[in-house]
Amino acid sequence: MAPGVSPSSVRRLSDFIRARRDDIVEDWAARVRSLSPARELSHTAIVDHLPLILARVADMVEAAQTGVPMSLGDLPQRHALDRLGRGFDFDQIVIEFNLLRRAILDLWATEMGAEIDVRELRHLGDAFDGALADSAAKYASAREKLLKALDSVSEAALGSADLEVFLQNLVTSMLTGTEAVDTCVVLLREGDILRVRAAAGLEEELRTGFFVKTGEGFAGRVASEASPVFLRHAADDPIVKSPAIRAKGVRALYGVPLRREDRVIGVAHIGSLTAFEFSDEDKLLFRTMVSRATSGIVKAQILADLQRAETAQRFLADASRELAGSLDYQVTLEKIARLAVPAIADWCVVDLRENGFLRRVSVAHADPAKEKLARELEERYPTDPDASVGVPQVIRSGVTEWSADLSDEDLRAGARDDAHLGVLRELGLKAYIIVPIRTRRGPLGAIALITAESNRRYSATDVRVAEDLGRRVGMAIENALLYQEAQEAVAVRDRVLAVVSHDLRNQLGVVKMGTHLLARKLEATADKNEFHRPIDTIERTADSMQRLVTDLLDMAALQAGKLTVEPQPLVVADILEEACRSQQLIAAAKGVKLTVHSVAVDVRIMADRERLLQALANLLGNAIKFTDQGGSVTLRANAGDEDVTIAVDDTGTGIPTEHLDRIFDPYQSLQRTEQRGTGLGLYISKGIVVRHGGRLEVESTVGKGSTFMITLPRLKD
Amino acid sequence: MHDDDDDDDRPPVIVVEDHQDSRQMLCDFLAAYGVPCVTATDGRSAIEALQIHRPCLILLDLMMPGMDGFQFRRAQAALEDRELAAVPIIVLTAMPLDIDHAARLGAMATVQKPIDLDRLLALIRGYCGSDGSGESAG
Repeated sequence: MAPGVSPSSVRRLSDFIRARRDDIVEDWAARVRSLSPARELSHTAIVDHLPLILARVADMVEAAQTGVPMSLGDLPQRHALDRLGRGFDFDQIVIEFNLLRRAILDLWATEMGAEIDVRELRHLGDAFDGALADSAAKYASAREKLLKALDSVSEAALGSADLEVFLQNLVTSMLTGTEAVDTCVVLLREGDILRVRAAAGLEEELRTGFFVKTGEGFAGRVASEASPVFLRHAADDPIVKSPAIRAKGVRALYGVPLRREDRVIGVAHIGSLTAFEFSDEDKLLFRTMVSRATSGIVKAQILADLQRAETAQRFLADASRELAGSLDYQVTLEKIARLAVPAIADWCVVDLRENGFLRRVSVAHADPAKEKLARELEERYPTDPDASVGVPQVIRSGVTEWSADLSDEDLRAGARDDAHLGVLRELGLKAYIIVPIRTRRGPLGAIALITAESNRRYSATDVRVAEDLGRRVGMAIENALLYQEAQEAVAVRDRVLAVVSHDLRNQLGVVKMGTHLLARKLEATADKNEFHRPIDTIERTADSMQRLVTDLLDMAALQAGKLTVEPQPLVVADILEEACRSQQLIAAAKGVKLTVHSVAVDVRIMADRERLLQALANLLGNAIKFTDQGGSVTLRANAGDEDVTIAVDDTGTGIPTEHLDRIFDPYQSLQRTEQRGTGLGLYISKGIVVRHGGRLEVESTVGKGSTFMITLPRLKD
Repeated sequence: MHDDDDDDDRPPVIVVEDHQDSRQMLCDFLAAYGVPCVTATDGRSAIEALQIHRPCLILLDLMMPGMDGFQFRRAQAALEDRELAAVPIIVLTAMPLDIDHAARLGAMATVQKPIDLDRLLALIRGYCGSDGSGESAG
């Protein structure tokens, strides 16, 4: 027996229940905890309305004495709804009430003995029967609505993989599925703000992209408390920040957090324009729908993130392809701006710094009229190159500038005057990222990505994508600049070469003519032999200089792809004879035997006669040069069905294998200082042959000799 | 202008060339082979020389200050004296790619500098009928 309770004063069951209410509740709660849905619940959650119910039960039992009829009111219904929301079956609610009856009667039996007033006992039974009947009715109807609501959540989820569509389906079904609910809004978390993503009855909030910081405003409080918050007079409540809720005169406002594990990912709230309160049933319904929708939202968010990442990657890949595909970066930047819209922005503006000035290279928007507007805007309000924010600052500092959310204050701060502000507002700018275009020479420009109509907001991930783009564009521009400079250097070299060689030829001409004239005049004199040697030397030197100039010009023409050839049908046998004839004296002077093998006269090719003879002279000259006295050089041709191969064999020193792949390289041969002349002969010969659509190959064995082979297409009759 | 041989009434060859040494040496060379030669330093003086000397052949450099080879050719072609307008031209060039230009100009041949003297003499004989035997040695 509990202290302070005198047995004499507690003869009645009703009094006993009142007196021992706490003990009965504790005993009951311990028994209920064995039910599976209750195992994880807190003590408070288990106890729920039980103390109130027990008080009413006591009143009903007392009616046996007083004759005043009493009832449990809506307590059984509310308890049933609570249990439904916590996942109890109806059977388990029946067990709960049975356990309560047992707890009362067991305690009575222990402390008061078996004796009990039958009328009181009957009233107790009636109370429990009534409670069960009310619970059953409420449970069944609420459960049906709940299932319908969950169905609608599933349908909303199934309706679309698109998060926005899913959320909009959800808020709409909330309005149609419940009474007295006139508004429903879902806000999702973006960093430390909550932004309206779907709204019914408060569409204004969606249109303006309404957002609050967590901790601020109604939704912010729901998020920071991570539990439901209820307001009776929302329109007049100081906590409410939304102008739309105030304007609409929302009364009851009930908000619940969207929770994923321990994180609040958003807030949903329902409001009523007529009622000051929502029924427990509607609240339960809303909570259940929201909790069910949360996993769908998380999935859709992940999917949306993936799609965004995929779009960004595809954009970067496309941009890289454009950048790699062209060295004209003006055109390329235009294309990239077009790719960026709408892949990652509604606007893409590229500025380059040139000679201290900013030049707008491209402005891209899906709507050409808006591009025009932007260009006019830039003309009327040119960017201040010394501005401490925006493009000039990004170019100066090389540091990205971005805003996930442009507020009206931001626009006001950036506007030059009211008219400017008006245009900025009209453009509906939402967020921006400005990244530097960086090269090793320093920042060269900036790319601005801006969102407007799409309502898209930028995240740290988007900033990384944009910076990646800035880097790639920087590299491409750098390559283009290097290429331009190289081109200019080549052009300068070609001009110098042309001028110098022109003058050299003129002057060599004078030397040669002068020498010739001198020799001719000396022939008549007696001193002719005395002058023969120096005149001969002058003539040979002038010839050698002439070859040098010709080689240099040919090399420049080959490298510029400007070596001209004028092919005509040629009889191979004639060409071989002529090539041999021109080298015969040199070979004889060195004591090398030069022979030509005959070839059928019908073997013909298409070639530029002078150029082919030049190539053969080079090959024969080399062969003679590298063949010792007593050796031999042979010129021959093999005619196949398709091709003709002209080969120069020698019995000379041969070329080491490791040098074979370098002998056609102009710079390699230039390094061979032991050789006279430019050493450009093989490079030029190969260039001539390739220009004819043929190939020049070499086989060589050190100590045995080399074979150079020119293969050209055979001319058919 | 340079008159090599006053006694010779054969039509001369005109050497039109701005480079002084080249001009002088070529004329000396031709004279040594008995080819009468007059010189001009640019297109304008060449037109004058053309009218005075009525040459059998013009040896023309293309790149000259003042009136260049191309302008000279247009001026020559526009002469009312059809005979003078038709005096054949051989282009002398130090540029390897001038062959196209020469063809556009209606030249009979192109001779690359440094000049292949034997080929030049052969061409002159072809157009001027001199066999070069009347050489004036010394």
